[in-house]
Amino acid sequence: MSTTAPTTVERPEVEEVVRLDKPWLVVVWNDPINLMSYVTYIFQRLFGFPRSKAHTLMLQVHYEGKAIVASGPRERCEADVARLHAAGLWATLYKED
Amino acid sequence: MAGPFARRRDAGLDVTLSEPEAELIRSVAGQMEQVLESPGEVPHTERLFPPAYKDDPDAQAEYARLMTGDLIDGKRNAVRSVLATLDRGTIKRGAWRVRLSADEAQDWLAVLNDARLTLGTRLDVTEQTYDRVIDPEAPDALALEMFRYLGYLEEFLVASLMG
Repeated sequence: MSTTAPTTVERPEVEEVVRLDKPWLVVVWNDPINLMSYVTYIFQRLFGFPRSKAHTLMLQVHYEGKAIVASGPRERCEADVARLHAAGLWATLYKED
Repeated sequence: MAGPFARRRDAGLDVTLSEPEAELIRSVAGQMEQVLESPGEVPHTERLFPPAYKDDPDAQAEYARLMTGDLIDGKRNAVRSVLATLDRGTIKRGAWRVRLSADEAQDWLAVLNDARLTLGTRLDVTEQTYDRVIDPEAPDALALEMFRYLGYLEEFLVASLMG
């Protein structure tokens, strides 16, 4: 009789957080008024992104119409959206399907 | 970069403008102050208060109830700060100058951007607007020139703040 029980078990890394719930996502939408440089600067200032990451996200917003800039629990995403709104960016949040 | 804003080591900015430019910014900030007195009743302000939830009216109503007050307060404080910096500007040999702290520089950025959002909404700005040759006889010619000037100023401001 064979056994399928493994002899060793992979223990999850403690740094990895497995979410029990699907995360909320913060989306920034393209708009024809905000300057590209301004959007890059706001991404850097609000989220602490390095210039290159902020620039890449801004280009994604510009050319693809939107980009996901943050994810996590609803309350934190809502606070991020409020900070983006205070900066005049067009941001929304939704729960991942 | 040359331009109206010179960044200082403390992250503040030295601003140098012509006198008419400083007066124009005072007019813009004064108009934004009026807009923010009763934003719900003023047209073209929807971009200042965008929705957080696209497809959930109940969640959006709750978000607006919780957040709009703070959002308006923040914008009003930025406008008051900009008006205060305009009051302490000095004119020497035709140049208008003022020194901004790092926080005041952020207030200038916020007010310039809110003014562009409001004017841009009124002008129904699209990506094509930026390439349009402005016909001086067109009824919106002055407003378009103003929109472009504010964009030009904001580009310099962002470049200075990015360092």
